[in-house]
Amino acid sequence: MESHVTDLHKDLIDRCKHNDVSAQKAIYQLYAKAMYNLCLRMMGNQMDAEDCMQEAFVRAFRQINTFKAQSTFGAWLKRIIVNQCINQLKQNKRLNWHDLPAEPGSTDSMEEEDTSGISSDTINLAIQKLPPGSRAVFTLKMLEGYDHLEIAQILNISVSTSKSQFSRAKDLLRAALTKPVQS
Amino acid sequence: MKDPIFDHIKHNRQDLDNAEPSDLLWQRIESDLHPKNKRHPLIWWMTAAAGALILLFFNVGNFEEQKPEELSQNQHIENLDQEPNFDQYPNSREVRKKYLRQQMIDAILGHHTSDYNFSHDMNPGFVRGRGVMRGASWKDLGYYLEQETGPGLMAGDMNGSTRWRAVTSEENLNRINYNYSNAPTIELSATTTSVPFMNISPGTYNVSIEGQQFTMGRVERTDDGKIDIYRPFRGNTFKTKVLNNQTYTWDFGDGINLNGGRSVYIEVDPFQHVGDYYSNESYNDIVENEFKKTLDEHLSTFSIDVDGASYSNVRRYINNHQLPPKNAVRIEEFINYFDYELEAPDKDAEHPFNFSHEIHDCPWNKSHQLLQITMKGQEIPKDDLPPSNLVFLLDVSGSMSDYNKLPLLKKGMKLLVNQLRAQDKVSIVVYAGSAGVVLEPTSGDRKNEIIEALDRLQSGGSTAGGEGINLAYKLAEEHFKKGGNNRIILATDGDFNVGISDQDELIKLIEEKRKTGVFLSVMGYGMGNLQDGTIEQIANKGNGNYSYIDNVMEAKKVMVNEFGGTMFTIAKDVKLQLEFNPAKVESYRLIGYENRLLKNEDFANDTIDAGELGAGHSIVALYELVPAKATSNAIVKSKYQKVELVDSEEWMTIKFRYKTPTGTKSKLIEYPVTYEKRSYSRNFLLSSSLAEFGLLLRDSEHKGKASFESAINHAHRAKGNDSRGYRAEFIRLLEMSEILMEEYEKRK
Repeated sequence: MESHVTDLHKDLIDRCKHNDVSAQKAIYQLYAKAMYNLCLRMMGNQMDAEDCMQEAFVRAFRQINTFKAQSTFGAWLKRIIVNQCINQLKQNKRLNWHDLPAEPGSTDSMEEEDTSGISSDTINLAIQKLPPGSRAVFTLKMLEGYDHLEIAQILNISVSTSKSQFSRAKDLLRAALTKPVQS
Repeated sequence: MKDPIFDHIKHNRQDLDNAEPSDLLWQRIESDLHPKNKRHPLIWWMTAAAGALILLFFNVGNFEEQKPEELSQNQHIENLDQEPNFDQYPNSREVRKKYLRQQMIDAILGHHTSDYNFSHDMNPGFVRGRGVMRGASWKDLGYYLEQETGPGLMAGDMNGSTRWRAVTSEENLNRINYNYSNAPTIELSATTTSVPFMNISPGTYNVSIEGQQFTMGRVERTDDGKIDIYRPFRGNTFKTKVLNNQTYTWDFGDGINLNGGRSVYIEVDPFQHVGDYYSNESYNDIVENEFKKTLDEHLSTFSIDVDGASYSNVRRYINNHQLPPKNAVRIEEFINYFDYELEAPDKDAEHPFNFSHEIHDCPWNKSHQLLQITMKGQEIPKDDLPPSNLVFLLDVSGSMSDYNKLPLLKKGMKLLVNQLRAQDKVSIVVYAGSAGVVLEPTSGDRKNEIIEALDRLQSGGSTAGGEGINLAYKLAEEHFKKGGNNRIILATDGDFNVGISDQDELIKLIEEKRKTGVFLSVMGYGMGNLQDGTIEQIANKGNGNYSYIDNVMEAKKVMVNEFGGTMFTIAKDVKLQLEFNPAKVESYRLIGYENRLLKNEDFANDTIDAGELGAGHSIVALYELVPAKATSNAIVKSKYQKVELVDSEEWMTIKFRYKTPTGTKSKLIEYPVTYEKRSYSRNFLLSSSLAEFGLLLRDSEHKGKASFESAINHAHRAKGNDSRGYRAEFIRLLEMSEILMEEYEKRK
């Protein structure tokens, strides 16, 4: 299925290799929304997310000759985006693996939870409020489908740190999303 | 482990990606990939030549090459995004106000130090900002600003900080990401010098605002020996005044080579122009509706208005830190700028729109009630829309060359072109020195041809009229689409001398053509010579809408999001008439709609023109009601007149009249309204806070106890999911207006 998608865009990618601006724009439009949402989640604010998008897409188009179709184009592009975000977060000294709020909040009685009323905006806001480190891990693991080993490599942390950050993120999110809604 | 929350997240994974990247992002990427005439900005060259200090915080090249509209667009979006980030700061109104006021001052300076906050790696008690400071002798000092903070403070927030220091680099000209751990530290301190301002000689100076930030200003000596001082703001230069009549000196200490280590700043007034237009009456005068006694006049009749131009026009003033002229505020256009959460009627419903009402306590006068009437037009899927025959009549006179005029118009039209279908036709007529057809009617699927024609457009020449409007009508009539949307869209900055110089004759022509089924809409651009009132009148006569386009977002809203609403009419000549019951309503006041009032007898007169309702459009009208106190059924009106009241629980009857788009005979809808206590809807909170906003900006005699605090409060509660960010922007405008109003009062 995925490789089929790649084939569909093969023509566009080939044209991108010749620096064809209309093909570049078409590729950008295909992936912009998903990648932007990824950036937004990783960076936590619009301005940094846009900067990362710009850097990463420029880099991707300049290095598109190195794309060898071993993975899908989307996965390749996503990896560039993720790396860009991580570098940016590191540069801004926003990745901190120790400084987590101590109390994740109550976690009992979640089997009774009615989740149907939780809107996407509420979830996104809750994710946005996570500390940058665990937000990055959570985004990559839960939403982008990376496993802990890959995340550990990308972030240059140990697998156990990745796991503990992930469960911290889940605890924090659970606490945030099960709070009674204020009227 | 079973975990419903994360199952829910997984199942709804796709829905989470609901943020839209800015339209401008691709342009940024494209200009990186395919740079056009790369230039080195002067400031960069000077810095390098001085061999001095690096600009640490910005890629100067990118910054300088940003087009003005992109800058303002960024600011715009950033404003919308402010809300969630604010959660980490204390939420009190006063802190929020202080923060916003600081941001408004930062905006004058162009550099948002506070945007570049990041935590300190070695010294957790500090937050840092990045910025550029003007050193003496034209040397730029790139710096990281460190500030020791108390709870809830951030870089850029001067009050409450215990100390400031700038960490700078003396070398590393080309390094953007400077490792500042080894950089020399200099203490900054502000001291007032004894240099009297009047002794200063003309030239370029540093300007400081409230002793905080700096940018370049200019001092000139006038012919009569006086001193004028100018400060920049978003590419314009504003004449301003000197505060305190003295200059400030900032000492940089010894750690840095800055030619003497000190530089002189002139303190200026950042809000001097807040009231420049406030009492300016160049807009058509609006005489607000008065309260009417039901016994004297039990009927109230008006035509609907779907325009929102007044809101975007006022937004432009406020974003420029100025209060708008009072008469630029048309409250019904504020209210109708927004989409409301209303259900549209089904395809086979009896009438093409739904209607409803609410009555609640009036926010600005607790002893009064506020009646809200809403209408929601049928939605038509884009594919089912009848074909469009659009003739753009574009003003390309020299005055249209500003970045917020013709270039913005082209951008908006390209957005529209993307929406067109094969059955739609577009043509373009321009007028300036002479009128001409630049695009013969072209089918909507030949997008490249249309875009190429747009790209060829250039402004130039004076607006000497020509055959513009006749040419446009000729094309529209030649390619008339029966049952379709035949429309001329006039885009201008006010010089709509389209070939007929006499205003009345022009209106006569537009009215005449309206009968043939060709409607006329107007889009206003730019500032300065915009003739707001006249443009609105022309659009009204042409059965069209008047929109004011101040940025790309607005262009998108009008051209794309409202393509169905603004462009395709589902009901025409829509009139409302309310009949009040004097036993329940002692008096009433229609809020806004001053230039849409109709005579009561014209309600049933089908030859009288009224407003059009577009597909999917919502209309809201508000009446302020004074409930009747009398308990007796008979009221003595005068010595000779006694009025017997009918025993009825009804407060009023609401009547609608409309025609189908091609119909000539109107249909009547009539329904009685009784009062019942219900909870406030978000629609009501939104429309009433917009009205309150308008009353405050107009300084209306009917504003009662209206306050920004209450309007902001209600607007917050009305926010809902606000996917396009309009409501967050509205809150932002309210907050900025409150600050502007306070600054205005201080200077009065």
